[in-house]
Amino acid sequence: MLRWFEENGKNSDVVISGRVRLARNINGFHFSLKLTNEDAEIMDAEILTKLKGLKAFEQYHIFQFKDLDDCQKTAMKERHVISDFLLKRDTAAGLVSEDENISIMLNEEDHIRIQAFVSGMDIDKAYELANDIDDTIGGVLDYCYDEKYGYLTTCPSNVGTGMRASYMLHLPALTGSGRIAGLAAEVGRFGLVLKSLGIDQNNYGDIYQITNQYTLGKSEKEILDNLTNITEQIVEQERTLRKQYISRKRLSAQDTVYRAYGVLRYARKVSLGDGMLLLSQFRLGLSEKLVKPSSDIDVSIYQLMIGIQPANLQMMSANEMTEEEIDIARSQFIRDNIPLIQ
Amino acid sequence: MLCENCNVNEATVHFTEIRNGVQTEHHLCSECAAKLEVPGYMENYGNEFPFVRLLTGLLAAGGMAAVQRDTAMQHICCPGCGMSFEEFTRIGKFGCAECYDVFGPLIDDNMKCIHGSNVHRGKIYKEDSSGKDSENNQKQSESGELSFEQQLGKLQMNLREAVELENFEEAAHFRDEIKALKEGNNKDA
Ligand SMILES: [Zn+2]
Ligand SMILES: [Zn+2]
Repeated sequence: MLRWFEENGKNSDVVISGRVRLARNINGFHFSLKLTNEDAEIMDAEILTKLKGLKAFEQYHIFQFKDLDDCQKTAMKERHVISDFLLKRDTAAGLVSEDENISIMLNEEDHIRIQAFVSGMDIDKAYELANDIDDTIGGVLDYCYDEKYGYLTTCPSNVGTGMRASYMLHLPALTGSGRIAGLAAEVGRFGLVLKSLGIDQNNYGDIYQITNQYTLGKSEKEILDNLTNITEQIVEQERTLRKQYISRKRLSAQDTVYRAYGVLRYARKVSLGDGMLLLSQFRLGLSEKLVKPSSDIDVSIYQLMIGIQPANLQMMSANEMTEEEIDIARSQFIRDNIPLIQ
Repeated sequence: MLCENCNVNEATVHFTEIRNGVQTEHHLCSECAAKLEVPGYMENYGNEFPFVRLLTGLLAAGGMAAVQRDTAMQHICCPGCGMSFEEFTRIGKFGCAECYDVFGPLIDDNMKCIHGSNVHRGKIYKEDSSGKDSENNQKQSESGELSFEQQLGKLQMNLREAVELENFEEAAHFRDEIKALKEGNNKDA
């Protein structure tokens, strides 16, 4: 079974994945702000007991922070199984589907955060998955729900549907032509937020996330359709810019991709920043057929982008690695996994 | 939404200011809110911001004397989780479901500002039971009684009117009625 980041879905030249996240709280416990660690532990245990027995979760792995070390938790965050917020919690637990496409986080900013990932541009499928889980959980637990405000959340910005839907986008051409800021302002008018996945807004392999800003007053379908419509336009813009650049400067474009491949294929030390940049250039080259892979097997480059994150590399080693050792391990990982070209 | 003062940071502090009868919405980041000494955000808030005073008065109205109102800030809290109003305006987040009953009606305009709407139109939880509700409600409407939604809407309007007129005791009374109505409705469901 492939994980969402191991395959390429619809419009995969630009759209890496779609994700739907639902925020839910249950009656009987204060929200996270006012929940003590002790009560959080009781809550997590109660929820786990109720969910564990259900058929829907038979194949799920259960995790509890008290059984995990920092590296394991960080690696889960790098694979998007858990959120940045959850990572910083003292007490947390959850359930993860075997392929890691669906995860249920407990004691996040809200008691329950359900998230579903799909590869490519198929947010409806992601919603379907999350919604089914929501029905199952809502059937055995008592959600905080209000006729007027809908699903009640810790933060007023999540209230109503409690839903955030997002696409992860690869936008090297829009980035290279300096159009991201303008684009971000444009999508803002449609109630969407576009942001770099990099820390402190640093470039992160030209990977961006576009998410709905409003959660109250619109149906889930309206929110999802709006997101998909605007994302389709971004996909078109990115494609047009890529075509323009390649038709004007084909040799330069090809040169960049071959250089990236050369370093990825032969370097003995690769920093995270370099790795992300080079993989982004190589991904663009494959998408636009500037280079030809030796095999027909469709390899997801985003999978490599996740694999080269520090905690995931650390997980594969028996000993604690220094930064330099991680750079060496990163180059090895890339050599082992990068698709060869003709 | 970006902070209206610096236009750089995300706005996390949302509040309504009423000055000389004119109501305006403000959206600031936490830094600017602290810098501009937004009341309720800072410990030593001034009296020239009626919105915060109104809330203070409303929440303190449960039997407290008028004199005590201005210093009552630290005593006001959500009966469910103990969230104080000062804390609520500083953090901008709810501490429990009951907080929505306490602070919700007072930030209705802010909700509109954040989302462009203040009423949920998405998935309905436990559709079966709420389906029965709306049948009941319809029957009640036919017999001349108000439906739950209508009653709730009316009470919330009364509450906000009372707040605007600084009728704190009346407002507290409406707040309790809203709570009772909602509890009654939940038991029916
Ligand atoms: Zn600011
Ligand atoms: Zn509360």
